[in-house]
Parts: sequence; structure tokens; C-alpha cells
Amino acid sequence: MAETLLLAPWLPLLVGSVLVAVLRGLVQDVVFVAAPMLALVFVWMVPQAAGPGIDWLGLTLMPIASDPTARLFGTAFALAAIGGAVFALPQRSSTERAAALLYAGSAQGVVFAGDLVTLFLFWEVMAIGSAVVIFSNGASRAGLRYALMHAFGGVLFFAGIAASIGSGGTAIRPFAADSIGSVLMLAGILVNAGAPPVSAWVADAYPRASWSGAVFLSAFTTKAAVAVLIRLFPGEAALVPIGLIMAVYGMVYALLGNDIRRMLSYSIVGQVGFMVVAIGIGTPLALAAAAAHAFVHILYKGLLMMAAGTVLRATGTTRLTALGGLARSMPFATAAMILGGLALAAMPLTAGFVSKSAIMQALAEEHAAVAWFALTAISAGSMLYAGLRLPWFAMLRSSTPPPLSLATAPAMKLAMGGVGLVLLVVGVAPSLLMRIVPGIDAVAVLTPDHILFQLQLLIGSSICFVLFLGLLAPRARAIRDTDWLWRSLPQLLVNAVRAISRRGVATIPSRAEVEAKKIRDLSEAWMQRTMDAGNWRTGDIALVATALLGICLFIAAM
Amino acid sequence: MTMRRRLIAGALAAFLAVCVVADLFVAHHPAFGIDGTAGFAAWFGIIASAVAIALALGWSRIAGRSEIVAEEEERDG
Amino acid sequence: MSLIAAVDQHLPVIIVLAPLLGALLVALIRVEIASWPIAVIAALVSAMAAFRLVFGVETLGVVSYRLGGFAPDLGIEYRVDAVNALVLLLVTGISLATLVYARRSVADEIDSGRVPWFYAMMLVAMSGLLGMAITGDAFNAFVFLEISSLSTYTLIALGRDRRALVAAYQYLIVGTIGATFYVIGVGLLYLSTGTLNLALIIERLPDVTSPRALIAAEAFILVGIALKLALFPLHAWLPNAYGYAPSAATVLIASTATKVAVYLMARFLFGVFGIHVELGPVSVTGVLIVLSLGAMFVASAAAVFQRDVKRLLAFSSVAQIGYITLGLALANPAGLTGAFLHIVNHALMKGAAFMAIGAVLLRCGSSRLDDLAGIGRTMPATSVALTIAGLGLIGVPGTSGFVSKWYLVLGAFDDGKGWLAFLIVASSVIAVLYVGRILEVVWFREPSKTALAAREAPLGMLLPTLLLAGLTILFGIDAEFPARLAGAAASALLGGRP
Repeated sequence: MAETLLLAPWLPLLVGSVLVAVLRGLVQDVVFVAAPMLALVFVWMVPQAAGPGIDWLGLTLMPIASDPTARLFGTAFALAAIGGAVFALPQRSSTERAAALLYAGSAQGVVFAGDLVTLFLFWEVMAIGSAVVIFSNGASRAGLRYALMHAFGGVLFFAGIAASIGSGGTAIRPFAADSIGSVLMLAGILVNAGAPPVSAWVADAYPRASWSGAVFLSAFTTKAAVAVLIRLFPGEAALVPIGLIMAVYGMVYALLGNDIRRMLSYSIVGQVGFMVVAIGIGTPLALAAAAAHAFVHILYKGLLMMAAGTVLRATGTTRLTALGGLARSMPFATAAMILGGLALAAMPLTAGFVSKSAIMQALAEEHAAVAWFALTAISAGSMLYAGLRLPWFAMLRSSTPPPLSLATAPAMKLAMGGVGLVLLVVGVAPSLLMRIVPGIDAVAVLTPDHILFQLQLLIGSSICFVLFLGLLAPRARAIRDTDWLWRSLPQLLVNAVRAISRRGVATIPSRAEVEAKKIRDLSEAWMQRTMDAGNWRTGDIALVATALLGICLFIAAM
Repeated sequence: MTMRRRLIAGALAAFLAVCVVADLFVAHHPAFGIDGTAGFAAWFGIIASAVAIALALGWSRIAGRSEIVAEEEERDG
Repeated sequence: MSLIAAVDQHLPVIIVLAPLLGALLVALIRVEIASWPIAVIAALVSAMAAFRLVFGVETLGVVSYRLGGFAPDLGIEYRVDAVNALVLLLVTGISLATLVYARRSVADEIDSGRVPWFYAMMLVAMSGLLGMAITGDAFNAFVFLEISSLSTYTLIALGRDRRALVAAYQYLIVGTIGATFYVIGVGLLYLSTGTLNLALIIERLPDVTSPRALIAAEAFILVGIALKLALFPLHAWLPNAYGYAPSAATVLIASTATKVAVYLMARFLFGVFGIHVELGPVSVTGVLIVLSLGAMFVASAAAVFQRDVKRLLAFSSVAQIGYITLGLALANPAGLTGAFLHIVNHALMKGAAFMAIGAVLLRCGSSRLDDLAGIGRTMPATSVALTIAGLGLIGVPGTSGFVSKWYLVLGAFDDGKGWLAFLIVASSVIAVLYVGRILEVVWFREPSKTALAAREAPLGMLLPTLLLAGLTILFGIDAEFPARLAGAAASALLGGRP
């Protein structure tokens, strides 16, 4: 049994993380790339069963329990980590490398966890690892905002788990969102998935990572949340509207975006919305389709982030307004961006077509008309922003290209080429993907009516793009996002309350005004003292102590 | 609109027409009825894209902020 | 053999006497070089005695020692059970680690003529705290409380910053008020029961005719102790005291002084008065829960806005004490286990944090947050210890802080208070903020000039720091040993009085 534990896919990554932090030079490079490769091997070697239990705090932890879902996500995460590591070879930041492996390892831990507590433990480590990836690029404030958001999600998740242990222990099992515990759990997972109203964290945090760090970030957190939703909340009806809102939100902001990586972050939310809708449908086909789409999405979003990272590294910017005309000087990145964009738009013969077909067929079989028509429309919108707007304005349009400071390194080309190849191979031979995701093998992918349907959709979308090109041109503008709720609204409320109270004070007679001012000053002074307790006067401390004693005695005397 | 864009749009429209004609001759497997009609995806794709653009631009009218704010956000690490 | 047996018989008194005699020796010899070895040896003897006693208590149950052989109703009884055995082990262990750590730090921060006095005062404080924990006599506890307090005032006043004097003075006034409240309460108890021995007080309580006097006694005693343990909102003396005391003294008082006061409060709450006594319409537990929550949120929020790391950690201490008192207020096995675990775990992690800051102070001469910029590059080991301690304060899984919070959350659910469990975990979000600020500055900022010039802390300081940080990790992964001791303490307290 103990051998199972040694085959845990997270083990080589966590060990690798420590080694990378200690080692330097070529050895570090080797460990950095070998660790995720070893993880991929372990994903397929570990027996498809629950591993040994470990007693901890009176609970039985199961750190490794493999099943087809775990293996699918494990494969995707390992591939993303390999691609990300190879791509990041020119990035010589030991902190980022160690954090990236820690992040990748804990993501493996989340999908291979055999009980809720283990799941939560890895969930938290994942938050730490990803926050350090952001911090390591010097984005301290964004990193702190990111860490806080995930601490908040972790709190919800933890409270939900603790409340659910009473009914049914720590086993991983389907829940229905009908008790406080399971609702808290669902909310905690949805925070990580980037669901509204907290979706803004994705686009706030990911673009602040380094050119290589964003590749890792785009792969794990949201998709681990999808994996956990598949396990814990399959068929939860509330997920359908939530997923639809995510899909619309992601598309709208991606259409308006100026920063490539910000657009791609919004697009993550949008595409995760597709998966969340499928999980809400909850049939075996829908769940398998959600998993398959997660798999493919990790690959094409990784490819797009690599292309964006290559541009950022070469030009120092990812703003569309500053880019353009790069096709000739950066042919490799241009090809990667076009391929990734087309895969996102589900162009036939790319992997995206396979998984999106599975999702649409699952919706059609359940006759979920609203979701089907909405997601079909959003697919057309995805073509607009990812398949056309992004490569056109960033690379293809004729404009004076920004000066290039760094050529694309061979390792980066290798990573982009490898991931792109997988996307194409799966697109041409969908049976390869169906072998890993047996649930979708009945889906009709490369049939004539299907291909024609998708081609018409994409060409229709392209015609719109050509017609309305001017409207879609990038502009330096900021659109209020949902973080307005916690970054601006509180200040507005405080101001409003102040204004109201001032107006209220103005209308009452002057004597009362003086009294009110006195009370206000006094309460403000006390607030100040509570916040800055070190500067209390000794007499005040004595006063508080006496007051507390007096209150106790008074209550006792009653 | 430049000549080149018009040409590209025309070429796309021609290609789309070919697809719609081809769509008349393949067997469909509709789930909702309308999605099995020939050329459905063509007009649905155009309308959906137009709506998406309208939605995005409308939202940027409502929630958009000045360029100064955008620059501030850029710097706000 | 007979010698060991004889020593074994007198273990309880050796624990207290060893540091006291050590202090006397240091004060009499008053040679700077000799002070540190004597202090370490005295602490070592005391720690070894405590260690042996803990295992004695695990097999025997209760160890009772009568000073001078007088019966408990006349003389003073030292009484060690599962509850204070844990506290004794903690106090002696931390004191020993602190004294080992202190040599370089003290040589740097204290004027050379005062070094022997500093060690003497450290030992006296240690002795007083141990006495408070070990004695089974309410008035004797007051005497030891005063001994430890007076020496602590001196320790704080020895700080180099001039504000240390003000802080010491303020603590002196507040501490004296607390001690006075306590002794008034003990007096009321004596009037009602005719004895000062805690065990006998418990026996005679049912015969007391006037519950009013008892409730008044409880109010005085609890408020008095609450001042000493810096229960919110009586915490205002603590940030300055911790902030301006010499580093070694901060470590000692932060890790032990408040913890012993918490122990004393638990002893009175559970052992003497019974936790479920109603103060009129309001229960003690209700008041304690509200104040604990206040500490957890308000003090944490205040910590976020501090510019000095020592003061930041001090505010965090107030917040963490809130978790401990919350565990007491839950008054069920899981909650109490969580409280006692957190007594241990918080002592370890806060000790490690203050030690790390002391090392930074030695190398950079400042504990201001901005001056710590990039210190992770030049003092990596110290910064790792600080990071582990910080993660423990948040309660990240894998650190001991998670284990104690886990028990507290379980306790809240056992009590049917799901909302409380939620607030416990929610308060960690604020801890993310203040710890995140430190970690960001330490690891991700460009090093300042002072940070670039700094070297790694000397080994004598580094080893104790890393030991405490290592224990924070160890107890986070394998919590069996501390959880067993804390569980035994909890069941002893709950079993003492139904």
C-alpha cells in the first residue's frame, strides 16, 4: 500500500519545488523540467483505487485516490506544467520556478485527493504557490489582493467542509446545495472558479505575473475548481445560470480588452463558464464533456499565454494599442496565437472542436434550449475576440511594430510547438481524447453536418468582424469590473453616509449640533484608540478595567 | 471601408454561401427543430456576433472609465 | 538510586527554586561573563525537572507537594496535574530557549553594567511564572504574580528606546491594578470559605450561603487576570510593552507571561467557579466569547496598520489570545483542547517570530517594517523562521496554527455554534493581510542598504529560532504529542467540576 503513496503524482512536483529552491544552474533546469514529466508518468502508473489512509487529528486522510477524472485532470495539469516549465527555461527566477512547481504539485494533490480534508490542504497550498508566482514578479499589491481573495474562498470552503463532516464524514461525495455547509463549500469552490460576483480577481491577478508565470497561472486554479465541482456538485441546477453569466461576462470583457493577457484571463472565466454549465446539467455525458473541455482548454489557453508571454518578453508590452505588425518578425508566436485562438473558437480539426462539440451535444440531449442557444452564440463571440481580434490587432495588421529586444528562445519555440501539435493531433484524431475521456466517445465530432454547422458559425462571425472592424479596434480604456464592489463601493458608501449625516446635522438646531459633534469626536477618538491601542493613556486603561468590573458587579447585583 | 476589406468580406460571404448550399445536402440531427434547418448556423452566427459586439460596446458605455484610470490601473502593481 | 528518588520527591519545588537561586547567584556574583552560563544552567535544571514531572503526572495523575510538610489548610500546597504540567513544560522550555538565544542579543542591546541584572530579572520572572502555574494556593499565586510582574517591569524598562520607560511605567500601573483586583477577589473567597487552598475552596463552595460574595469574587478575580493576559479591551498596555522591551525579554513575556495568566483564568473558571455560572442574565461564556471575538477582529485589524514589526506582532498576540479565550469559553473537550494547544502553538510561533525580529534588530538596528526590505536575501534562515511563524499565525495547513484552529472550529460546531466556527476562520483573512505585508517586504522588495549590509544571525540566536519554527511545522504535521497533553488538560479541567 505504501508504494501507492510513493507514486502520488504530486510527490515529484513538491520534491522538485524544494530542490529547485536549493539548486542553481543547469541542475536546476533539469529538475524543473523533469519533475512534471515524472508527475505525468506517475499519473498513469498509480493504481486506480484509493490509496492508504493516514491518521491525522483523529481523521483518516487519503492523500492519493485515483480515478478516471483524476487521471484526466492529472494528465492535463502535468502537460501544462511540462509545457510551462520548458517555456520558462529562459526565465531564471528560482522563486518563480519553485512556486510554479509547488503550485502544479498542489493542483495534482487537489484532483487526486481521497477525502475532503486532504483536498482542502492542497487547495490552500495551491493558493500560496500561485500567490508567490505573482509576488515573484514584484506585483506586491496585486499579489496581496489575490492572496486575500483566495484566503476568503478558503475560509468559505473550510467552514463548509467542517460543517459537512457531521453528516457523512470527510468522504468525497456528491452534495446538493441545500444546507449551510454545502452552500458554503460551493461558494468557496466558485470563488476559485472565477464565478460572479468575484470574477474580477482572475483578470486582476494573472496579467501581473511574469511572461512565464502567467502560463502556469492560466492552467491550474480555475480548472482544479472545475474538477472539484465535478466531484462534489454534479448536476447542481444553480450552476447553469452561474456558468452562463460567466460565459457572457468573459466574452464581453475579452471583446473590450486592450491587454492581451487581461483578455485571455477574461476568456478563462468565459470558457470555465462553459464547463460550469455542463456540470450543472450533470448527465454522465455532460460531466465527461466538462472534463474534456477543461483538458483542451488548459492546452490552448497555455498556448495563447505562451504566445502572449513571448510578445511581452520581446516587446515589453502586451497592449494591443502598442502592438501590431509583428507577424513577420515573430512568425512562431503569431502561428501559436492563431492556432490557440482557433482552438478556443472550436475550429474543426483543432482539439477545441472536439470538446466543445461534446458540451453542445450534452446540452442538446438534455434539451437545455436556453443554455444551448446562448452558448452557441457565445461560441460565435469567442471567434470574434480570440480567433480574429487578438491575432489581427496584436500581430497581423500592418502597423509599425514595436522594437524587439529579445528573440524567441528555442525552448519557448519547443514548448509552443509541442502544445500546438497536441491540439492539432487531437483535433484530427478525436478518438485519442476519447480514449482518456471514455464518457464522450459517443459524441459525433467530425461528421459533415457538424463541421458545416461550425464553419457557418465561424464564417458568419468573421463577416461581422470584417464589417465592424473599426468598432472592435483596441482602445486604452478601463471598464469597471466586479472588483468595483469591494474596491470602490465601500468608499462610496462611507462618503454617502457622511454626506447624509452632514446634511442631517445641518438641519437641526445649533445646540444639538454641538452635542452631535461632541459625540462624533468622542467616538472617533475612541475608534482611533482602539485601532492604535499602544497610545492609550494609562488612566483610560484603568477606566476600561474598572468599567468592565463595574458592569460585571452591576449585572451580578441585579 | 477600403477596397481590400470589401473584397475579403465578399469572399467570406461567397464561402458562406457555398457552405449553406452544401448544408442543404447533408443529414441533420436537430435537437430543437430550428437548429436542423439548412443555413441556421450561418444567420445565427452573424446575428450572435452582431449582438455580442453591441452588448460589449453598450457595456463599455455604461461601465467605461477614463483613460487616466486605465493608466492608473496599469501602474497599480 | 536513593538520590534520584529524593530528587524526584522534590521535583515541584525544584522547578521554581532553580531559577530563583540562579537569579540570586547571578545578582551576587554580578560578573558579566558568568551570568549567562548560570542562567542557562538554572533554566536547564528547571526544564529537566518539568520534563520529568510531566511524565510523572501522566502516570500518577496528580502530584501534590506540601511545602514544609504543613497540611493544605495551613500551609502552601504545590499541586501538579495534567493542566499545569503542560504549562510548566512550556514555560521552562521556552525560557531555556530564550536564555540560550539571549546572549548575543543582550550583549548588543543592554548596557554592559546591567547585563547581570537583566539575566537575574529573566530568571526571577521565570520563577514567578512557574510559581503561578504550580501553586495550589490562591494567595501564593498572587505572590508569584507580583514576583513575575515586578521583574517584567524591570525587563521592559531595560529596553534601549526611551519609550520603554513609559511602557514599563504604564504596564506597572495596569499590572498593579490587575493584581489588586485579583487579591480583592481572593480576599472575598477567603471570607466566604475560610481557606486559600484552591482544592479546599472547591470543597467548601457548596456550603457558602451568600452567592453574591462569590460572584463579586469571581468578577474581581477574572477582571484582574484579564488585565494580565491582555484580554480585549484591556490590552492597551501590551503593544508598547512588547514593542520597546529588549528582544530577549519580548520573547519571554510574549510566549509565557500571558499564557500563564490564561492558565490561571482557566483554573478559576473551570476549577473554582464553574464555567456555567450565570452572572445574572448574562453568562460568563457569553461575555468571554464577545470579548474574544473583539480581540480576534479589532486587534488583527490594528496589526495591519502597524509600521513596526514588533508592535505588529504584539497586536497579533492580542488577537491570538482571543482564540485561546474563545476556546475556554466554548467549554467543551474539543474547544478546550484547541485552547491549550494554541497556548503551546502560539508560544512557539510567536517566540520564533520575536526571536527572528530580534536577530534582524541585531543585524540591521531596526525593526521598522520598511527597514526589513529584502532581508530575505541576506538573512535567509532568519527569514524562513519568520515566514513559518507567520504562516502559523494565519493557520496555514501544515503549521501548528492550523491544528489548534481546527480543534477550535470543531469545538464551535460541537457547541452548535456554526457561525462562530465561520468567524474563527474568517478572522484568519485579516491575519493574511498583516502577515502578507511582512512576507512581501521581506522576500519581494529590493533590499535596502542596511539589509544588504546585514549578515545571517549568529548561530547562538539562529538555532533556538529555527528550533521553535521547526516545532511549529512538526506540531502542524504530527500533532499527536501536544494534542495528547492538551486533551489531558482539557479533560482534567472539565472533569474537575461537572
